[in-house]
Amino acid sequence: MTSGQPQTGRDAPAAFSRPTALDASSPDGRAAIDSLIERFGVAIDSFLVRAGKAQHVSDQFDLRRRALTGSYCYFEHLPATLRILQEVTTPEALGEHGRGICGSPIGPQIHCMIWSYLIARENEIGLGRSAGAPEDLALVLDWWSRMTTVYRADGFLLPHEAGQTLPSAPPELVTRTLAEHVLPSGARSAVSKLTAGLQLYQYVLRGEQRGTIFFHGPYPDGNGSAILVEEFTRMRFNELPWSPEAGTLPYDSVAAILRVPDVAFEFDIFAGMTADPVDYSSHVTEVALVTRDGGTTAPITEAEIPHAVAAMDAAKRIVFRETLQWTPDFRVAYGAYHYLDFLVPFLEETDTDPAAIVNLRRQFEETVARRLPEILAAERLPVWERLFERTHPLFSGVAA
Amino acid sequence: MNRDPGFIPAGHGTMVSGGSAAVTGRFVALLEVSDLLEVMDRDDGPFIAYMTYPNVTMIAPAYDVMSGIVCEHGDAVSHVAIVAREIDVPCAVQTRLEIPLEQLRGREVRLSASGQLEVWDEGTP
Repeated sequence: MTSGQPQTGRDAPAAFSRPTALDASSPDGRAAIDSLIERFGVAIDSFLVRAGKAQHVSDQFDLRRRALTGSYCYFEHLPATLRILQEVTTPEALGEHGRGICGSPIGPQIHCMIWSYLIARENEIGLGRSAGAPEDLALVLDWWSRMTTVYRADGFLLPHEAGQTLPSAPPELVTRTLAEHVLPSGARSAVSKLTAGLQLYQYVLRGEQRGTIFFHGPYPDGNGSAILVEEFTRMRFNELPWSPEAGTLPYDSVAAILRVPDVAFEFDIFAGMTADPVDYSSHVTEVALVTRDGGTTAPITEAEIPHAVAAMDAAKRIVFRETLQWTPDFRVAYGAYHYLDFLVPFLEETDTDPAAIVNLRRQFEETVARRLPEILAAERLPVWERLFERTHPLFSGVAA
Repeated sequence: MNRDPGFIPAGHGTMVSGGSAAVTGRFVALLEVSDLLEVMDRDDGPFIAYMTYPNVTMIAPAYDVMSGIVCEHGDAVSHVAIVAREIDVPCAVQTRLEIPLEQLRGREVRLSASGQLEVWDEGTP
């Protein structure tokens, strides 16, 4: 557990520094690719062990096939999307853009690049088919590692390499924002109810995917306390066709910033958080609530919270009833839109031609239309067998 | 033998949220989505939700009218437990029922601070 000051595990790899692009054609490049895949596999193994109880199953959705559907969209279209981005930006610039409170893209979206690409790739390998072009794999890993390096800004790529920490913003920004917008102590309960409600709303909106529920930190405040950030983004404006009209909710982004002494927090790769003690609410000494809608940080006042809760409750019920109407096929196919919504921020935050987003949506939909019959009919999904049986290495190297 | 009306033991679990006072409500088993829809359609006041697994989707659309949550499985870090603490709703996990589920549906139950689940019994004259 980590409290306040991020710590480094004794067995953590050396800090990451590699400014040059990965080259799949050279021995050194292939070794670097395999090293990154292995490190990512360790992070996923840690994540699966920590979240192992769920086993990625649901009463309502086929989560494994849903994830595979979206992953194939990445497998087919992520390299081309990164080549479009290369024309207008760098991984470092995009990683820097994501840093902050309610930044974009956020950590889970950055990690989703490699997660999704490797999931589909491993499934293809398990089916005895092509692992894809080595240069595509190199490109994905290069963007992921360079973005993450700048995004975290602590020399590490993954939470387990840095004491299960997930820094995603400059600590001084977090501390200053909390100080500027701290709410009266009597508002803490209302904030807690709002963030819990937003968690549930996002969970329903995203078909039992954490999506943009994003815990990050801990940020040291210099006094031994940890500061925790819990944020929600893309609630009003996103790529989900079933999302309520934008006016249904008052905010697209919300962040709660909490000062929590004497509690140790751990974060996983997809921004889940555990606390010790588990019930940390009584330890919270300060809380601020802000939105980044419009591009600037603005406080959400105590008086505004009840309206936000009511709007979110109403929207949640609307979305839930709509998802119940989905056909069995769409209960898998909807993954394409989730994964699209995780990739679109990369394009939105650059000077990419807006037509690229329209084109990407069309490409994702075409991939799903083509892949879905096989995914639905498959008796075996090799990648999930491999992951949940924890067959190591979880992901094959470049030579596969 | 005559029995006075009152709460009688119905099960016991481990409290992972709340625990400072007992809560009461109608016992509703959320085992399938149709159970949840029925609750949403009825909208007739606070209830104590029983679930087999700590699946937050089953509480998400109706969490604002729950007075308590009772779960057969789960632990302190289950998503349901985390959410229950944030919305300040008492939640018991690893609950073992002493009365068959079907006999509890729709009846008034009480979840105590110690994790004791009790059901209202009309007694016998």
